[in-house]
Amino acid sequence: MTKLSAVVLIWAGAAYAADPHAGHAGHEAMSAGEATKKSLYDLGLTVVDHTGKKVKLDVFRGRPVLISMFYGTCTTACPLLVAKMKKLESKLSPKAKAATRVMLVSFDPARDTPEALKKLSTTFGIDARWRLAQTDEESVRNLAAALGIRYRFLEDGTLNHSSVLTLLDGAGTVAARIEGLDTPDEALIEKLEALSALKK
Amino acid sequence: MRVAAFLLLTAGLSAAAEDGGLVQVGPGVYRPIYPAAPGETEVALPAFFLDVLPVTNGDYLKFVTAQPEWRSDRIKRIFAEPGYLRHWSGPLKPGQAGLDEPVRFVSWFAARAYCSSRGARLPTEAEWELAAAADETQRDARRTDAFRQRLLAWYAQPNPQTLPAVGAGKPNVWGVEDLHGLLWEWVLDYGNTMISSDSRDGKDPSGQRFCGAGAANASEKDDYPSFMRIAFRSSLEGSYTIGNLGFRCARDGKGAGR
Repeated sequence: MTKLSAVVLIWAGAAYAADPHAGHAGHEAMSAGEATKKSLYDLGLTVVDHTGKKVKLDVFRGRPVLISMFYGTCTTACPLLVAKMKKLESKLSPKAKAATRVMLVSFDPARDTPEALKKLSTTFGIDARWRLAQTDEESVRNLAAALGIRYRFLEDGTLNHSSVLTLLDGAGTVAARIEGLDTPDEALIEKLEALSALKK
Repeated sequence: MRVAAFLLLTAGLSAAAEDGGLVQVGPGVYRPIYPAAPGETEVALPAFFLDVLPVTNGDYLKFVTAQPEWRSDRIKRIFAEPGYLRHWSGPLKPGQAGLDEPVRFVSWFAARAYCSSRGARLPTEAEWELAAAADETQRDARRTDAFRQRLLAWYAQPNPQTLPAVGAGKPNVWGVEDLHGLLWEWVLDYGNTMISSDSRDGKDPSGQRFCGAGAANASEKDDYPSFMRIAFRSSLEGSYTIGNLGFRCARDGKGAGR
């Protein structure tokens, strides 16, 4: 396989479809109880929320969680993201809405201090099911990588980022994901309703 | 040529000063073929230290032995897909994978953890590209036909089943080896590439990542090797493990000349 075809393969989402390695069979079996499910909560991240409280990212474990990233000084896409999430919530059944939690983590911990997030929480008009949060730079990078969010700070202090909204199940596994603010959200809503129905 | 010899010498000296495995690269100016913004066609980089060689299976074996949560049978799935270290015969057995060969089938999360265990970090894309723009005699050889041809010839070759040992190539002008010709390498900010469109307009930038209009904004339209690297990186996710993708570590250039 040439490098170019490797690139194409990955684009096709088949990065590990083929196993050209004969020596691979010798791998020891996964030990019992090993977490083979991909859970965002295994990142082990800690955040500080807009009430100033230090919490683990899995603070809402057991519930469906909508998670995304934003930054407070962003004046266009980020308010749109919040608006999109609110609109999405407005389409939910009362039960699903009550079960769902929302976690928005800042790309920009230097400017999005807990105090700044507190102000934003008022601007955004969020209720108690929502958390605006910040964490350290290392964790921002890890979280963005795990959520498949691409971002880059520009020299003027603004940043470019992709808008990805992810739905996590109670164990922190990705249940649905939408990329881009114009993307239809019906499939995600359907998934969210199903997860909420499971929750007593 | 004398200048090049002098540079080679200073690179060698700073290597000795810092650590056996790292050499000073830069300060320098990185000219991205895909500037993040119209005003960012030149990025001034302070000096930093970079591993002379890619991390080997032997190095990585020591790491997973010391930090067993990164063994292939214990790693959390969020950090690496199931192909992690698949070329080894067991969690602590490189098997047929030579200890001097570069480690591969490692995710970005795992590469970061390895570098962090050494008090180092992954190089940024700008740093890696600055180091990799050099050949044996010039700091920026990207416009040199022979250099481009060498890279393209490598990119066109099929991936071998086993990789050669590290350190077989010649050091570039900074004293760094194997940046080309052995395998691709992770960078810290692999996810930043080609987000040149402004996401703040509320549209997903991915649609504009690969289009012709975007490419027309690039500063070096015939620097095909750089395009290939950017395309490759922009296709990656942090948990991917790939047979021709390894890494090396870097450190901030504290005390390095500017």
